[in-house]
Amino acid sequence: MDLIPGATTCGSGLSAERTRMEVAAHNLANAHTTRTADGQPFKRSQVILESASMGGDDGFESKLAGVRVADVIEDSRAPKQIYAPHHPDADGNGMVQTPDISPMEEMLDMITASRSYEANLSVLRQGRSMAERTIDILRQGG
Amino acid sequence: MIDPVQLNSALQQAQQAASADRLQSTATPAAGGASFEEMFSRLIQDVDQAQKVADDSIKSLATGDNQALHDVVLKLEEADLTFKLMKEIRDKLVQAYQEVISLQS
Repeated sequence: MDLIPGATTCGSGLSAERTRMEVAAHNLANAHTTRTADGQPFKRSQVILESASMGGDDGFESKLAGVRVADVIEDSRAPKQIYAPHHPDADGNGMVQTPDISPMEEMLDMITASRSYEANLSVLRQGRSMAERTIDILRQGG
Repeated sequence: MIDPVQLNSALQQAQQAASADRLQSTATPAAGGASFEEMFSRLIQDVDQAQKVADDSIKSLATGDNQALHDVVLKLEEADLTFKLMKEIRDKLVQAYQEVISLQS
């Protein structure tokens, strides 16, 4: 039974924003990572979202779409060069390659992700209260 | 965490109430449709199913299989609302039954 209107759609929105939050955390945590498994400095990740049909059979429902994480890709920005000759990852000139991650940018991503999450939660809350109030009609004097 | 719906006693009450309904309106099941009794027991099964789904998702969250908290919350809300709907319909039926009984006195 599908009592809450928009439940699946805003559920997909919540998952997507959750992923964006995780990626922002992943980027912030690795802001100073100079080595990864492939020997390169860490590269910032980015979430690509796409709309996904929520599986309505026909009519308008098939046109309603939720959202889905299409991919998490690596940012193409070149690493920053920092002079640190005693660093074990420094090259012959004493330069260390560090990821080009701006904490401010990540903070901004984090804030937009959490606000969008809240927006999706509001949809869920409203949908639930619509269903609840409809059920309340059955109650005596409701 | 969530008790399974007491299918038997709820069904009994539903049957009593449904027969009371029939007394009141001398209605026969709508042509082509399922009888009211069938429909209501299907509703109870739906409630039971929703509660089991919610229970399972709580379990999977607690054991770490499922990381999506909002999925669990959604399922709990769905189960809660389905139960409320069934309860309200049951209350309505019992009320109709009691009204029929009070006709006799």
